[in-house]
Amino acid sequence: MQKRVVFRSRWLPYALVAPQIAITLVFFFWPSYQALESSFFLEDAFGFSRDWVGLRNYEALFNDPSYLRSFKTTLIFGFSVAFLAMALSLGLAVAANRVIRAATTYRTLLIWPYAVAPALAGVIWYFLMNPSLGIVAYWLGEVGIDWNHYVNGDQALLMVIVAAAWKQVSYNFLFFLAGLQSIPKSLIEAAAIDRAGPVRRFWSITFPLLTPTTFFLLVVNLVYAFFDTFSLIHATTEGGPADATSILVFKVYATGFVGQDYGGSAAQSVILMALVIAMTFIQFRYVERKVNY
Amino acid sequence: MVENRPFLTFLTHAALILGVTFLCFPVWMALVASTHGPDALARSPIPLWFGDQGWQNYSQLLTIGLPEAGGVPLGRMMLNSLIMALAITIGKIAISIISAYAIVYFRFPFRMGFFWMIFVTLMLPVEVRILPTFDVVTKLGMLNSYAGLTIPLIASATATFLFRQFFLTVPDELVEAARIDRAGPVRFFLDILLPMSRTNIAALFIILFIYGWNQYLWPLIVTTEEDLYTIVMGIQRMTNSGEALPVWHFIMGTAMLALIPPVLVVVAMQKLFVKGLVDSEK
Amino acid sequence: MANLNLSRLGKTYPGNVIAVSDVSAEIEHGEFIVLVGPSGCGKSTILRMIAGLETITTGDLHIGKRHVNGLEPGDRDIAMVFQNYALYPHMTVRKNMEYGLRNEGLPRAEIDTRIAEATRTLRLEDYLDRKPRQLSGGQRQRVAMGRAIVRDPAVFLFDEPLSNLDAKLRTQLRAELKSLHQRLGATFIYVTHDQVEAMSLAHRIIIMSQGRVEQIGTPMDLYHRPATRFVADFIGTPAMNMLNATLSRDQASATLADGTAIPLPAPISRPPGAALTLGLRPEHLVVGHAGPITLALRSVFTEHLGADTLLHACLADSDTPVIMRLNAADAPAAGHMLTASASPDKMHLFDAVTGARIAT
Repeated sequence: MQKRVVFRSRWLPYALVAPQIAITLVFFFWPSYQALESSFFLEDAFGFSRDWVGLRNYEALFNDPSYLRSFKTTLIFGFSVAFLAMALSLGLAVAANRVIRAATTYRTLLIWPYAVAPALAGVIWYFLMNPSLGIVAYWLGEVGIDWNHYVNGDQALLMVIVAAAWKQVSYNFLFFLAGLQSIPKSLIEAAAIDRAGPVRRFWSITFPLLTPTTFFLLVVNLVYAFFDTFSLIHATTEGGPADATSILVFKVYATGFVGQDYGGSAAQSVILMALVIAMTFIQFRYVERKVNY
Repeated sequence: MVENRPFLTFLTHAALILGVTFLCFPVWMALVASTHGPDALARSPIPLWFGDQGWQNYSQLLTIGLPEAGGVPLGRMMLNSLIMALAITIGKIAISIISAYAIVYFRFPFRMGFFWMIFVTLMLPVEVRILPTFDVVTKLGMLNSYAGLTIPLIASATATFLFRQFFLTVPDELVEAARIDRAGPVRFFLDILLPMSRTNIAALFIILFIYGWNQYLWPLIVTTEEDLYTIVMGIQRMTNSGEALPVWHFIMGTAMLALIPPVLVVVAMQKLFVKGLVDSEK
Repeated sequence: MANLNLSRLGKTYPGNVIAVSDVSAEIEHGEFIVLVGPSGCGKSTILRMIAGLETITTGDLHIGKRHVNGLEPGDRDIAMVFQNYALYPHMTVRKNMEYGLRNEGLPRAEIDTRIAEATRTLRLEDYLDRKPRQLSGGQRQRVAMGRAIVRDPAVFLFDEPLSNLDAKLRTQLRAELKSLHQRLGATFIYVTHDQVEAMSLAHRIIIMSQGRVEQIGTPMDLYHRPATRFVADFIGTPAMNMLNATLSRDQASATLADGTAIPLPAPISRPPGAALTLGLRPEHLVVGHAGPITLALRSVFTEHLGADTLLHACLADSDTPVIMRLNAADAPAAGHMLTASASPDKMHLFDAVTGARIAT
């Protein structure tokens, strides 16, 4: 945790942490406190009056069917993105770990989408699936599927799931590949001598040994899908049609900036912060366990 | 490999090629669309190969912009994106490396308190507390400025942890040798620790640059002046007009211009990028 | 000129962990002192207190006339060589050596002269522009010594500097160190856990155990007149044979557990029945009935080391191990019974309870 020998200075360490702490205080703690505070008030749109309402903002939220639906949408969205992105990248990582020829080329071609902003990923898929000119929508039409995410909520949700997973494959791929490469070759060879075929070897040796990586990625992917995909949704469906793609983090924004309901938005912020802190905690526990291996 | 099965090898390459296609195809289509005029894109199905309007489209985007989306030249937006990304990256690295230095190499009251204060911000994305943060920035009069665009995003738990992790692996004897060589804390940091951190700084630089360049919501709400628009948020103004007008070729051109710089960084500095990504999650 | 005075030095870590207590020593200018002992005995802590890398909890430290307890390491006129070399990895050999001098603000010409001299002494001329990672272990250790030499300090401190090297290189560098000490004429304080290194290098050895000094003396002092059973056991390979015995009624002999009577060099004034430990070095035992001390042994196995042969045996009636250093021809086969003899004046006597030497 710390060095055996440390420098002695009365003021220098404080000066060194000051910028980080100042920014953290002003832009993290102050706003978080404000969110907590205003979640107990009812404020009019112009900020003229403020009434203490206790937990009524929270009560209203949990009685609001659209908020509850947003919870459900978020869960469907989050787990679908995590599953899709992880399954695809695991398959690709296993394949990439096998090849010798052109390994670097494959890796390069598979990791670059990490750099694409979620908003851009959304816009590009939005274009591919555009009902009137999108090429994917056209192909779907050829096989008899009538695609229109402007009116069909399920299709809109599917579209943002695909776009969000598309962007996340690279990230997962790199971590799965690193995980696979850290499995000792001798284990696989021992299994081969024990007459286990490639498929059996994967499920009985490789996959169990990848569990730490898989769990870590699950948390990271859920965090990504719950929070970082805001821009993807904002740049494309804007939560629609009819709130079908309105995930929680989008709703915080919509309630506050569009709906001008500060108390309600603040209460949502508080709930989301609690969720983030819980996930951070899980992640931290996991990291601790990994250290103890 | 353990054994040699031609069929399995074939399957492996087939899977990889399929994966590469899935990842590359959307951007291919975007690139193709950005070289056509509006007429070509109005016919169904749209072309899968380049058109002849590329030069014209991109030069208009870069120099004039899109009247429907405020008419800011994309060159200007890209410059803003670059300034924002660099300011965020350099700022994050600078304040993180010195706070990690303080936490590892000094013993002082409230050391652990500061450590936990930084830690709890680890996964608190700005989107979650967007409204109150916007409020704070408004109160501080930082709207529509580069300062408002960058400073609130500069605190970084991730970078602090990465540097802390690295400092803990630096042998104690090095500090001791430096103290015998009459180097004080400032000198040790500048002469020994900073040069030794070069690779870590470079790796982190790539990750943070991508993070900074790809910011979306924050610039969207703190900038109302068109001069400060960044390219990633700029595309949003266009998709909104895309419904009314056939400007998909421009939107895809903008998307290409917005994604090329960070993608180039990743591809060109692949090794450092992978190191930065894997390290920063430990 | 700098003598070192350690006066009742003590170090207590937070949580009341006592690492070193009550260590006093007077070190002359130009001496080669080796601090030796098993790991955790506090030898490194003493070195680090002298260097200024650990604060001194109790006691006083003088280097020359100066009281240095509160001085920074850089101001103590010392240099230190570390076990893991502690070279700055991003600097060339030259930069590594001149870093301290630059911080001191020496003029360029002076720095260049000193570096040229040190590199000549250590034969490092060809490596000046290399980085540490391009050097072998032995070369790195030489650079670390060079970094110490250029500072021209009154006292050189070495913290197990040869431990990371292979055996052959260690022997070679040991010789170099010795000649370096002769050439520089400065005070060397050297920490090691290897008693061979201590014996071969030191003018005087400070041998420690559990934070305390067991004995201070020349290598031959320690070998011939160990002050405690611990010292007797620690110095010499293979280690001294230790036999438990009780003092006989006549106070002039001792009895082993199996009843064998061992004549003592002289009668000692202890109550009969007192528990004793008898120490005999492997090289002081010979095969045969020459006496006056005779031991009945059963041989277990032999180790042929070339110049001599070690016979591992045990007392005939118990499992107490006894090792003898023999000529190859004398070694009996495993399982054989034999008789070994020794002269009483080669025997060391210790109080079995306190471990202290009993004078005879």
